[in-house]
Amino acid sequence: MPHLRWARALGASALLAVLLASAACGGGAQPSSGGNSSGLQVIKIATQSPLSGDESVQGIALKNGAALKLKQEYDQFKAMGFDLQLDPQDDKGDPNTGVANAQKLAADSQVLAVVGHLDSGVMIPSEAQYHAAQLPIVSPANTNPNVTSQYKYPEISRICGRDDVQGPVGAIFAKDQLGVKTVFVIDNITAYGTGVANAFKQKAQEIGLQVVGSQSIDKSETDYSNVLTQIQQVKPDLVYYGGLYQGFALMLNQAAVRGIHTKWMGPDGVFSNGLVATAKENAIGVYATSVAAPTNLTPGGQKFIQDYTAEYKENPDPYAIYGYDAMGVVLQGLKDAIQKNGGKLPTRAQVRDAIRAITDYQGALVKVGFDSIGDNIYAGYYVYQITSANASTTGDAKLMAQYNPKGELVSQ
Amino acid sequence: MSGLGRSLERYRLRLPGGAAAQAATVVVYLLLTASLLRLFPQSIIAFLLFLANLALVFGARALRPAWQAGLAAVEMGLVFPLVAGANPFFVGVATTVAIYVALALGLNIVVGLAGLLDLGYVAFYATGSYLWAIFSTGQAARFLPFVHGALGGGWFWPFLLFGLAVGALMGAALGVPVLRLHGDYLAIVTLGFGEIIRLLAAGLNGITNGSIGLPGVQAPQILSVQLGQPIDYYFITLVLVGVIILVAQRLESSRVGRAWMAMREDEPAARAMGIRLVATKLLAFACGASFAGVMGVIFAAKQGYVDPTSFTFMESIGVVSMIVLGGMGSLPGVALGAAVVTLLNIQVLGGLSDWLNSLGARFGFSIPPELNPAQYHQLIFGLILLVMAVLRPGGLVPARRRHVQLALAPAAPAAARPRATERPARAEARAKAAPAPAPAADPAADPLLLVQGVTKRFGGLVAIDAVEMTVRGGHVHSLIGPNGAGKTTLFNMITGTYRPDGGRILFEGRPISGLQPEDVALRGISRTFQNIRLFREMTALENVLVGRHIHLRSNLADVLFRSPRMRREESEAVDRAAELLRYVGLAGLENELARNLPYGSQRRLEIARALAAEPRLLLLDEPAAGMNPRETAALLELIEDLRSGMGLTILLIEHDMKVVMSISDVITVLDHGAKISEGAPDQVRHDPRVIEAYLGRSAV
Amino acid sequence: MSSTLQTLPQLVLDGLVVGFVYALIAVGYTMVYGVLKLINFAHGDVFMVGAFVGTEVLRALTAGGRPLSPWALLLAAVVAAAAVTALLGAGIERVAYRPLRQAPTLILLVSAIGVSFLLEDLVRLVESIHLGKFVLPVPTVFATVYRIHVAGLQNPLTIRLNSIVVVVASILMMVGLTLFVGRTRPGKAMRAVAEDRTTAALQGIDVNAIIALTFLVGSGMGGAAGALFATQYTLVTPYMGFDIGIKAFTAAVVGGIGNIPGAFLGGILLGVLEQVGGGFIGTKFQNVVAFAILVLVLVLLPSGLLGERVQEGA
Repeated sequence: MPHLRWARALGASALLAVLLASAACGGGAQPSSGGNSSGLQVIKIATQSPLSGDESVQGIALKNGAALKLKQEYDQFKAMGFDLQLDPQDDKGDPNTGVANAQKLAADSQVLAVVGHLDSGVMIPSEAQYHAAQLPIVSPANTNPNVTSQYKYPEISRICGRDDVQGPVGAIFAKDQLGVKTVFVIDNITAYGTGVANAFKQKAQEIGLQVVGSQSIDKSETDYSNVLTQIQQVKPDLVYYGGLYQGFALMLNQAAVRGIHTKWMGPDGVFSNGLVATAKENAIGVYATSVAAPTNLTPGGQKFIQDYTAEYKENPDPYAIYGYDAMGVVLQGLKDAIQKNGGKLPTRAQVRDAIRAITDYQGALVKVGFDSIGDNIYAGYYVYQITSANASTTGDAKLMAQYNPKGELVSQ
Repeated sequence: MSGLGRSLERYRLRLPGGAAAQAATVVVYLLLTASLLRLFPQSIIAFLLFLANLALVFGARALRPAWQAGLAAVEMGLVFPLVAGANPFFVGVATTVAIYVALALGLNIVVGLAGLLDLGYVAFYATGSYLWAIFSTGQAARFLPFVHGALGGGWFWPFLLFGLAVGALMGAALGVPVLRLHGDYLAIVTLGFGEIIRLLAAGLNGITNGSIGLPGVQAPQILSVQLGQPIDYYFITLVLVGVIILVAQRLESSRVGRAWMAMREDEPAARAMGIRLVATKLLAFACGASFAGVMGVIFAAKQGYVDPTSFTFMESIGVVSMIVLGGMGSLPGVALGAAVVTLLNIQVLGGLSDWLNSLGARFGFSIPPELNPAQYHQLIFGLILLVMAVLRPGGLVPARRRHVQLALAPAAPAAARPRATERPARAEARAKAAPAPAPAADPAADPLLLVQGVTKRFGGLVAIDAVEMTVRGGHVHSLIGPNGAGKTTLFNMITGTYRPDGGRILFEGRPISGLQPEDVALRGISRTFQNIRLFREMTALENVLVGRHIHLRSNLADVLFRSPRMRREESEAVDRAAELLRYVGLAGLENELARNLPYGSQRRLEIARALAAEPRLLLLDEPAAGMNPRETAALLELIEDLRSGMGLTILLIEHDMKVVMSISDVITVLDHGAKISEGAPDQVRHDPRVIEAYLGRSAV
Repeated sequence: MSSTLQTLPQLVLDGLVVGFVYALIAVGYTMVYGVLKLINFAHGDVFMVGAFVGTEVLRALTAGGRPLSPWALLLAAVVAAAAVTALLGAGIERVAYRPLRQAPTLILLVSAIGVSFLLEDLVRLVESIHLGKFVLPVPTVFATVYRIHVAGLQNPLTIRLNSIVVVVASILMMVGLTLFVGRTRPGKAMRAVAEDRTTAALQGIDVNAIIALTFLVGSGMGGAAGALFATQYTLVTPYMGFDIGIKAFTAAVVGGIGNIPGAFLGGILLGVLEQVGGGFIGTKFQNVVAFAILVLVLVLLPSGLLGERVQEGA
C-alpha cells in the first residue's frame, strides 16, 4: 500500500513541520541583536532613489548627498555606541520596485529611517508600507502635494516645499516682478511636471494673466518644433515648462534656432547643472523656481559644495544637497530619540516621533521644522535666474526673489 | 558553447525514486527550508531556497497531480505565511510573483497556446487597475453623472468580476480588427495598441486624472473588516492564482485548448476540421485579457495609487520574457518563468548590490557608483534573455503534451506488428471506431456531391473551366490529371478554401459553394492535404481529437466546471480517437508528437484525423505521395476498407496510377482546368484524350 | 488665415526633416525583414549606438584648439558611426539571430529584445566609465540658420543648415542604397535571398554571407542616421532608441515592409503626419497619432503603400 505509507509519512512530517514552526515562533522573531565584532550596535539608514534608468543622475546625486552626511556624522554615533550604516536602495523610478524595496526595508529591523524617493509616483504607493512598519521616511525632493496631503501618515515628512505653492509662486513672480501679461504653459506628462504646471496655470488665471496656450509633450520627446511653432504663432510673454531639465534644454536650444525671444520659466526640476551643460548660452536668462535656498549663499552650503566635490570629484547636482539635508534631519531625529531612550537603541516609533517633533533644524541649505502632516514650515520658495553659460546652476544662478510657505513675497 | 547548450537543452527536472521516496524528499526539503527561513528571516537565500520547494514538488513526477497540487497549496498557503508572514518584504515579493504568474498564464493562452503574438498585454492590466481606481477614488463622479462619491472597499469583490469582464471585452474588442493579422504584424499592432492605451491614460485627464494619477485607491474590505496588509493581498492573490492555474489547465486540456493549439499549428488545417477561427481567436484574446483585468484590480488596491508609468511597454515585454524564459505553452514553465524574472528584477540584483555594498563597507573598498550592479539590471536581464533564447529556445520547462493513459490494453508497437494480423485488428477496431454510417438505400445511385459548371480564375488564368462532376455515395471517385490540371484547386473549392467564380457545388442536395471551410466541415466533408498539414506539436491522439472537434458540444462553462457532460464526452472522444488510431495502424503511438512520426504514419494520422469528424465524404489529396510500395499497399487496403467496411464515399486525387486504377469506381480526368474524360478505370485508361494529356500528342 | 493654417508650413517643414531620419532607420528594418522576415527589435538601439559614436567623434574633434570645417566634422562623425554600427549589426546577427533561424518568431523577438537591453546598458556603462555621465550634449556642427519670409505668413519659415544637410545626406544615402541593391552583384543576391532563400542557395549564393551583408548595410544606415540625428537634436541618451525605433518601424510598415522606396516614403509621411497631427490635436497626442497610424495601416492595408501582400500561412 504505497499510498498509505506515503500519507503517513506526510502526516508525520507535517506534524514535525508544525512543531518546528511553532518552536521557531517561540524562539522569537528577533534577528541577530545587531551587535558586530567591535561591540557597536548597527543602525541602518536607507536611501530610496533611482540608481538605474534614465532618472539615475538625480537619484544617484540624492543618494551621494545622503551618504556624505552619514559619513560625516559616523563618528558621533560611534561614540554613542552605534555603527551607522547606509543602505542604498534602487527604486528605479518604478512604483513596483519602490514598494518592494519599502517592504524589504520594513522587514529589516536594523533599518530605523529612510531618506528618499525622487519620484512622487513611487513615494505615494510606498507610503502604506512605511506606515505599516512605523518606519519614518524624510523626503528630500518630493514636491507633489499628495505626498503629505493624501494619507497624512506620521511617518512621512519632507523638507522641501510643495508644488501647489511652487507653481503659483512662479505665476506671482511672473506677474509682479516681470510684468508679464500672457503665458504659455507646457508640461512633460509626468505626475510632477503636469502637477506643477497645472498649479502655475490655475494661479496665473486667478491673478489675471492670460494663458494663451497650453500643451503637453512627452518627457522622452526630442523634437519640440511642434510646440515651438505654436509659441511662435501666439507670442506669449512667458513660457512655463513643467518638467525636467533634459526636455527644457532641448526646447531652449530649438527655440534659439527658431529665433523665439520670450521669457522662460520652469520649476526646480529644470534647475540643474544638466540644463546649462546642454543648453549652454541658451539657458542664460531662464527663470527657475526652486524650493531650495542658494547653496553658495549659506556658509553650510559652501562647505557642502567643498566636501561634496572632495568626496565625489564632481560638482553637486541640486538634488545632492536635498539628500544631504534630509539625511541631516533623519540623524537629528535619531540622536534625539537615542537621547530620550537613555542612550539605548530606540524603536522606529521613537525615531518617527522624534523626527516629527523637530521644530528648527538648520541644514546646510534649508531650515526644517515639521507641521502636523509633515510639511516643512520653513520651506521657502525661491526664484532664480540663470546668468552664466558655464559652471553649475547652483553656483552661479542669481536669486531674484524669495517667498514664504504661503507664497507671499519675503524679499527681492 | 554547444556543450553547455546541449546540457541546458537536455536538462529536465525530475526527482529520482518512487512516490514514497519523492514525497519524503519534498517534505524533508520543505521542513529544512522552512526552518532556515524562520531562523534567517532576512536572508534572501533562505527565501529563494524556500521557493524552490515548488520546483521540487513539480519534479516529484511520481506523485499524483492532485497530491502535487495539494502539497504546493500547503507550502504556499500554510507553511509560508507561518514562517515568513511577519516579513512584509517576502510576503510582498511573493504577492508580486503571484500577480505576474497570473499575468503570464493569461498571456500564455494568447501567445503560447493560440500562437498570437501579443506585445500590448499590459493594456488589459491597466484597464483593470484604472477600473477600480476610478470608482474607488471618486474620480468616476467627475465624469459620470450617475456616480456619486467613491465606492467603499466592499465593492472590491464585485470589481474583481467587473475587471474580468471588462478585460475580456477589451480583449475581444482588440481581437476583432486584428483577426487577419499574423505573427510579427500582430505583435506590432498589439504593441501599438498597448502604447495607445497608456498614452490615453496619460492624456485623458478628465477620466484617468492623466499623468498625475489616482491616489487613495481603496483597499478591500469584508463586512466591516478593513484589509490591506501585505498578508491580506498575499492570500487574495494566492487564491486567485490557484483558480487561474486551474482554469488555465482545464482550458488547455479541453476542446477549447486543442482548438487554440490547432489554430497555432496550422490555420487552414484547423479550419478544415471545423474550427471557427474568429470565435476561437476572440476567445483566446478574451480569456487572456480577463486574467490581466482581474489582476489589475488587485494591483490597484495593493498599490493604493495608479498612474500611467506602471503600464509601459517594458511591462508587456517583461511578461513576454517570462513566458519565453519558462517555456511557451507550458503551464509550469510559465509559472517558473514569471517567478524567476520577477525575483531577478526586484530582489536578486538589488540583493547583489546590497551584498557588494556591505562587503565593501566591511573590507574598506567601495564600488564606484557607475559600476553598481543594481544600475545594470537591464544589462543582466538582456543577457539572460539572449542566452536563454539562443541556448534553450524551448524555455526552462519546455511544453510537454499531456500523456493520456488509455483504458485499452496496450497494443503492440506499430513497427513490430506482423502484417498478417492487420486485417482482423482493423475489422475489430473499425467496429469500435465508428458506428458504420447507415448506408443509404441505394448508395451507388445517390449523387452525394454535385459539381456544376464550376469555374475559377486567378487573374487572367482560368484554373478550372466549367467543370461538371458527380460523386455518388459509396464510391471511390478519383480525380487525376497532369500537374497543374487544377485538381487541388477543385478540391479547395469543394472544401471552401476558394470561392468559385462561376457554377455551384451541391452536397447532399444543398449548395456549399462559397461557404467557409469550417462550415463545409460541419456539413460532413473532411479532407487531407497534399503536403501533410498535421498539428505538429500536438500528439497523435490530440490531432485526432481536433478532428472530432465538431462533434464535441461542451462549452466554456462545461470546461471550467468539468461538467459531467464534458467529462463523458471527453472520455468518449478519447476512446474513439484511440480506436481510430488503431484502425489506421498507429496503435501505441497515441502520445507521440505528430512531428516525430515517420512520413507514412503522418499520412495515416491525417486520415485518422479526417475520419474523426465522421464525414460522409472524405477528400484525400495525394495520400500515396512519397510512400514506398509497402506503405502504398497498406494505404490501398485502408481505402478499400473505408469504402467497403465503413461505407464511406471518397474523392481522391492521386498520381500513382496503380492506386487509382485498382481502387476507383469512377475516374475524372482534368487537363488545363477542363474535364477531358470520365468513367470507369478501364474506360478512362483507353481514352485517347487522356493518353494525349499524359504523354503528349506524339505518343498517340 | 487661421492660426493653425499659419503654422502649417513650418510644421510640414519640420516633419520632413524628422521624416528623413525615420526613413534612414526604417531602411534597416525593412531590409532585414526582407531577407529574414524578422523585426529586428534591436535596430533602434543600433541607431542609438550610432548617435553615441557620432557624438564621441564630434567631441574628440572639437575638443582640440583649431576646429575642423563643419563638413569634415560631419563626415567623420557619420562615417565613424556607420562603420561601427555596421560591424555591430553584423555581430548581432551572428550571435543572436543566426543560431535561431529555424526557431519560432517569438524566440527571435525575445532574443532581439535581449540584445536591445544589453546595448542600452552597455553604452551607459561605457560612457559612465569614460565620462562619468551618460546623457551627453552634442557639439554644434552647423550653426547657420536660414529664415525665409513668405508672403501671408506672420513668421518667417525657419530652417537650419543642419536640417538641409541631414536631408541631403539622407537622400544621397538612399540613392546609393538603391543603386547598390539594384545594380551590383551583392545587391542582386540580396534581392534573390529576400525572394526565396532556398532557391537562392541552390543557385550558389552564400545565403549567410548575404544576410550578414544585409545587416551590415542596414545597421550602417541606422548608425549614420544616429549621427545625423545627434547633430540635429543636440542630446543623446542610451534610452533614446526605443521610441524612435518604433516610429521608424511604423514608417517601414506604412511604406510596405520589405520595400526600400516604401520605407523612405513611409518615413517622410509619418514625420509630416505626426507633426501636423500634433499641431492640430495637441502634442499630448502626437505619439498617439504615430501609433494610431501604425495600427490603422496594419489593419486596413497590411501590405503598406508600396509593399506586396504578405503571404499567409506560408
